Amino acid sequence: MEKKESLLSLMAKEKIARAVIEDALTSYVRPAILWSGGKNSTVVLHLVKEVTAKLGLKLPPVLFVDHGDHFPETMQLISEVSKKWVFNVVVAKNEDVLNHINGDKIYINDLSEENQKEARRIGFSEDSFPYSLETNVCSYLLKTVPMNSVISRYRFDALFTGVRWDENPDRSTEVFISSRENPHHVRIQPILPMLEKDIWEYILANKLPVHPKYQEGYRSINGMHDSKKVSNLPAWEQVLGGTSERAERSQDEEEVKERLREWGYI
Amino acid sequence: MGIYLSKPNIVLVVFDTLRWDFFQRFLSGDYVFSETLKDFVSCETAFAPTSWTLPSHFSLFTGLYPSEHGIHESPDSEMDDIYRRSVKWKGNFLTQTASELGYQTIGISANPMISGLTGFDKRFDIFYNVDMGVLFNFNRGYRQGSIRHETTKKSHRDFSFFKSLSPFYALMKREKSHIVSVLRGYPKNKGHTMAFSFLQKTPISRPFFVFFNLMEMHDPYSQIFFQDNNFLILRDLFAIHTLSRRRLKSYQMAYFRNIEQIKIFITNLIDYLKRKGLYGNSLIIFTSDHGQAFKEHNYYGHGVYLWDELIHIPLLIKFPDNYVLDRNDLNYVNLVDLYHLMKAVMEDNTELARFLNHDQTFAESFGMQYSKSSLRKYVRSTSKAYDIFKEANIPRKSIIKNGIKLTINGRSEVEEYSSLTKAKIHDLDFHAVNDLLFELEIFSGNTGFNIDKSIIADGFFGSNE
Repeated sequence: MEKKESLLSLMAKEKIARAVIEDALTSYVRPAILWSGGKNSTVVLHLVKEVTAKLGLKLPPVLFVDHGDHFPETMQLISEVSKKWVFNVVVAKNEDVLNHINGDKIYINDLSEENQKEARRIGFSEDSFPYSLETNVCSYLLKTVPMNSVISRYRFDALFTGVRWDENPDRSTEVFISSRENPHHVRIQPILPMLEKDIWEYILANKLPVHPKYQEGYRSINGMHDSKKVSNLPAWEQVLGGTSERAERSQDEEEVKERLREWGYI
Repeated sequence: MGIYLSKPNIVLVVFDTLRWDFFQRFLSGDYVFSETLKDFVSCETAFAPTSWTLPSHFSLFTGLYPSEHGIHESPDSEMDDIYRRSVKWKGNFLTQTASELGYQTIGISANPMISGLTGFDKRFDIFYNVDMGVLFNFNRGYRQGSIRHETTKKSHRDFSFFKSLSPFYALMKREKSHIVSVLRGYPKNKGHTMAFSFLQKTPISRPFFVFFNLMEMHDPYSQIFFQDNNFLILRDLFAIHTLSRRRLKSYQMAYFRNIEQIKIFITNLIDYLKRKGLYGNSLIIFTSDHGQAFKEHNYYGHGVYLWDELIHIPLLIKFPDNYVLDRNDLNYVNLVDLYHLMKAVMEDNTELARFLNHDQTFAESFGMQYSKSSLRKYVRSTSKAYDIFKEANIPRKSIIKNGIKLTINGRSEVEEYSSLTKAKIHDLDFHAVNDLLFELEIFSGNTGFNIDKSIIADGFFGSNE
């Protein structure tokens, strides 16, 4: 069952988020913020920015997973905001996989031994797979593997994410701070109780940078080829219409996300 | 072959205070000793995560940097607090993992800091303190009573029947080694034969993890009988009584000559393991926890700073027979990586290269590790001493990457920017320096260590070749 906090005020949810963030910042040595340029992670980034300013700490680095299929606007947004808000960006990218796209396919034998092992680890036994974030193996190799690799290399012990309870039923069991293994770290999920409308209220009230694709009618943003707009209205105006923010995503993609969560992605 | 050979045994030897360059020089001049070590892979780019014993050992046994395990000095912490924290520290300790995997864990330490004082005794099934006696410890700056010799219920002590009968005889015997060593001079046995004898007499019935901390390379190097070593170091540091060049030279000579003792220990240990049929199936690691500065950068001692002479350490590894690794698999290895290596071997994981091959490594210190109350009298003695104290008692972070070492202090000043090959860095590569600063900034996390990147433009790098 989907968990929602519909009656709690946004102000209370903000207070909860700040308390969670402050607790994490004082408990962990080397946190990072997982930022995709999307609305949820932008709210988390801003909240962490405010709490670090209050605590006299510098803003932790941002971890950006470059799966090779981003809108050009995403890259521009990352570049602009990182300069304006002054933070380091660590890019997680599986160059080996991206360098071996052959037509629209990726052949397992072309990949490094490490990537071949990773593919086998999740049970993939075929010779090739299509270059599409809508497939388990491609998504795993382009998102989870490089993200875990960066967490290990930079010894991040806490990762702030923009996961929300109301996104789908799978996420409704999430807690504010949860432990992960391989690599060992914790996920800090401060905006779990926020609803989509809370996110937009927060963004508009604080005049946060907004990905241009939301203005064009996209409700959520991932790869160029699997994010589809369902309306010409800006995303925040659609929220009042009552459709699910992930309605424009395919069923396949939702299933892939579920698998990725099992294997360590958000 | 006994049942205990089913899993590789692990022998970890920390030659406390052994620096890389002196050991290399010794090895290059001793062909026979080099032959003894022919099965070992040597890493020329191995580093300690800090420059003094306790945090370094915690890193070795936890796989965490000092900022991560928290057992380290700070500008205002007292040593007793650090000792207390280390006793109470709860987290994944290598010996605990070893026990869970069926290993017998044996600790043998000649260092009073790796003892009951810091809770190390309780972390092993069997723990031996190599007790060199009151005079020896006084000479090293440890007061009798500051070292807890109580060990675990299973532990063994070097009590003989006659010693227990006669307190006077016991005292004389305990002090004999110190008196004899003072009279003999260097090379001086600071307990390695006693440590080795503890291993020989320990009954082994299952895979074992044995750890040695040996003090042959540790100061004092003075032959003066009742001289407190910390007194000598601090008076030099605060420019109250500077060590003469002659004396410094004699200390360096004593230090170098004592590598002979390490050679004896290593030779004996390898012979013993071969005789017992344990050599082939053992992971054997010879390393150090930090180096020793002989005023290469106007500092005598260890701790506080992160100069190359303080953190660049030797690392020799002999892998169990079924593991195939060579010199090219070892790159920028830190003591924190050895934890993962040993754990992987205990877990029968054969893919070890990823634990030993890195493109960068780090070190960090957090101020002066000396007792703040004992520092006070020196610091207040002159205004110059106070200035030196303010300059020294701050945090520092180092990164070693692409053959370059960069150390920044808590005032965002460049303390060291050097090439590992000792080649001069003629042209400042802004891209490379920016990359090092980026890495250091991320490594610093939220510890409050801030790096002002304008230091690139301020000309610090040009003057720190």
